[in-house]
Amino acid sequence: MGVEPGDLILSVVDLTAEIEGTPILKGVNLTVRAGEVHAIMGPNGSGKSTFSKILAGHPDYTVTAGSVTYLGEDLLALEPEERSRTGVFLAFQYPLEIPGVTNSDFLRLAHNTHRKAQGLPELDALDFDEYVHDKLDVVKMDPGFLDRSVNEGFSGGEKKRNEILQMALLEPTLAILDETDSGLDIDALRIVAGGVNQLTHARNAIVMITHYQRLLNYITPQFVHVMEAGRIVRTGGQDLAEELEARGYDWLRDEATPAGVG
Amino acid sequence: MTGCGMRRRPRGWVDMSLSLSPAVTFAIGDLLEGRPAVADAALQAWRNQALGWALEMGLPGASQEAWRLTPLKTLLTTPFRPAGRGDAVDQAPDLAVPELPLRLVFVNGVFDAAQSQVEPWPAGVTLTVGESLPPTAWDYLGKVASLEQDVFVALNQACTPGVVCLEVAAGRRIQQPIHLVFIGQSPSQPSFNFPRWLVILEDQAELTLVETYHSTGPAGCSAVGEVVLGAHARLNHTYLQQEGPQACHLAHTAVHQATGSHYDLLAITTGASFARHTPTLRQQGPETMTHLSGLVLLQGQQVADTHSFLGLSHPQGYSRQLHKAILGGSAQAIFSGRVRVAAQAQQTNAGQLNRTLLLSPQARVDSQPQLEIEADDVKCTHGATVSDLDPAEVFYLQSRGIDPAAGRTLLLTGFAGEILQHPSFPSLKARVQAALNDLSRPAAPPDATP
Repeated sequence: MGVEPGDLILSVVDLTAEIEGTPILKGVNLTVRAGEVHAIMGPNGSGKSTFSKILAGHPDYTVTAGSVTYLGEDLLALEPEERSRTGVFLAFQYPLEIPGVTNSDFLRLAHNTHRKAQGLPELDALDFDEYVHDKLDVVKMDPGFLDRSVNEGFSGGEKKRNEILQMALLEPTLAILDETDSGLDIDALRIVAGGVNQLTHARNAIVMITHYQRLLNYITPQFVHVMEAGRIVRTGGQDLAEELEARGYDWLRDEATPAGVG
Repeated sequence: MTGCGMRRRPRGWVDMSLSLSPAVTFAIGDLLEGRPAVADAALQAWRNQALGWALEMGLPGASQEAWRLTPLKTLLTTPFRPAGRGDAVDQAPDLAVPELPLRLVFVNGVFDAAQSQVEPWPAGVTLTVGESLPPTAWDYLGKVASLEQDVFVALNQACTPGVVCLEVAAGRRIQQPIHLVFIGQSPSQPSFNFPRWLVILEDQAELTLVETYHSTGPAGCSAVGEVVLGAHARLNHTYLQQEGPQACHLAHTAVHQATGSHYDLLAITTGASFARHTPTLRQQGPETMTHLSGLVLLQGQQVADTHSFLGLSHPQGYSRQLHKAILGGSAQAIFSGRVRVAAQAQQTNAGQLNRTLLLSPQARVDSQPQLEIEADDVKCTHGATVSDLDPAEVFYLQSRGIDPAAGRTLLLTGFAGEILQHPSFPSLKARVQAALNDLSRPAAPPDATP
């Protein structure tokens, strides 16, 4: 969509949000440019998963202040499906199971809504079949999964591979990966990370949400952010992730509190 | 999963049947008095046998177990009169199904030759319509669907203007499906019609039968279909009820299955204001198979009741029943499914599942799966589930670019998928899909009517 390397993709300024009256995000700031890979780390309950859902437009959360600008547009003004069609993709931490709907029907509908948004003709079942088979290789997925109900009876690893397959089909400009490493054994982690790496290029950007440094051994971020109590309290490089792995999150909490970041 | 019944009703629900006593205008006597005459003496005598029964049984009510869960207000407060022969209707193009070229059309229960299509009629099938019934028909007519069972069966027997009978000769496997089209016409005042059909498959015969119901205006219909399957015979049966929004529809499907026979029913209800379908099936020999698939799609204030009975009384019987309902608006569905495994029915394998999806807080379902087992060496399962459309699933689809309406359609199609995947006919499937698409539109605000 005309994104050049280094272009500003996402700008989050002083974002605050709540769920049912409980504040979760308390002033998040983040800038993401084309070609960048960011990791947002943090302890459980720090708000990092909430942040990813808000970017995708999850209806349970209410943004109370701040702004999110995506490719020069107010992202918060768009419906979730519109965000998707303009290139925002969220890989779910817990992908949903949809009994009775075959994976191929679901993937084709999703892919075709994107093609339609771009003014391209929709693919029929036969053409799509060919198209999706090329993409299966990205996550080394068995074609048999296309005929099964969406995520139904999939193992944790298979569900995550299916998420990255969707990323491959929808070719997002901004991909947000929410705990994509959770529940994966080492082989599945390698495959999923390998898929993400194949899909990363100079004209898109990745934001990974993760609790553990493990994923970062396979997908190397230029920026590592630490979220704590609804704010990004520290930003660094890969070395910050390694420090977190060694020291845990507590020392940051102790440092952050008196500093009063916001 | 639950073994006993489960009910879900909206908060603040009040049992209107207690607080209101609407004027009952359904008059059995009037319907009997005004029933159309028939020329055939044998048929007339048979009809007369039912007069006393119908009068004596009287109207159904909440005090009768079989009607306890059924809201009867719409049915009983409509002042129905007996339907006339029905005006000749213009060929309504959507009633004809391209994949079903053999078509028998009935308007208000009366055969309409002009609209029907019986050429080329398949060899091996004997059709009797509008004339004296063959002797074999008398062996079964009224014996598979007994008038003692239900006042609406008795009313049908007393009032039907004629019986359509299809007999398939032994060993004949009929490739061409036969489509029975029942049209109710009620142009000025509410009128009730009584279609009646009988299908006999001799030993090892095979047939595909489709019956569809349509109507205009406040039409009432009490249909009775009887099926007799000889040894190792096989009937593939589709029932599709798409009557108009003002209609009241009752249908009895009664089936007797001999040894090794195979009966498949796909029953779909999308129409009528009030509907009740009563499939009653009896396995009468060992190694007999019965498949029942039901799909009920309701919106607005529609009511649909499914009361099924399956009697397994011989060894090595097999049955599967899957009944699904999707309810929008303040619609109400009732499912009462009784499966009875008699003591001699050893090595029976019977399964029953009722699943309901509620799209609005005002929608309501009463589900009563009932398994009665007297044999000890059997494999039987049953259960019922009720769920709402999960907003998390809709969001997941939205996050992939699929708008909420299309997402809901996909989810509803998925829910109905197990039923719709049955190899029926694309045009019929498209009609059901249209009803599904209607249901997946965003819910209108609940009715403000008091």
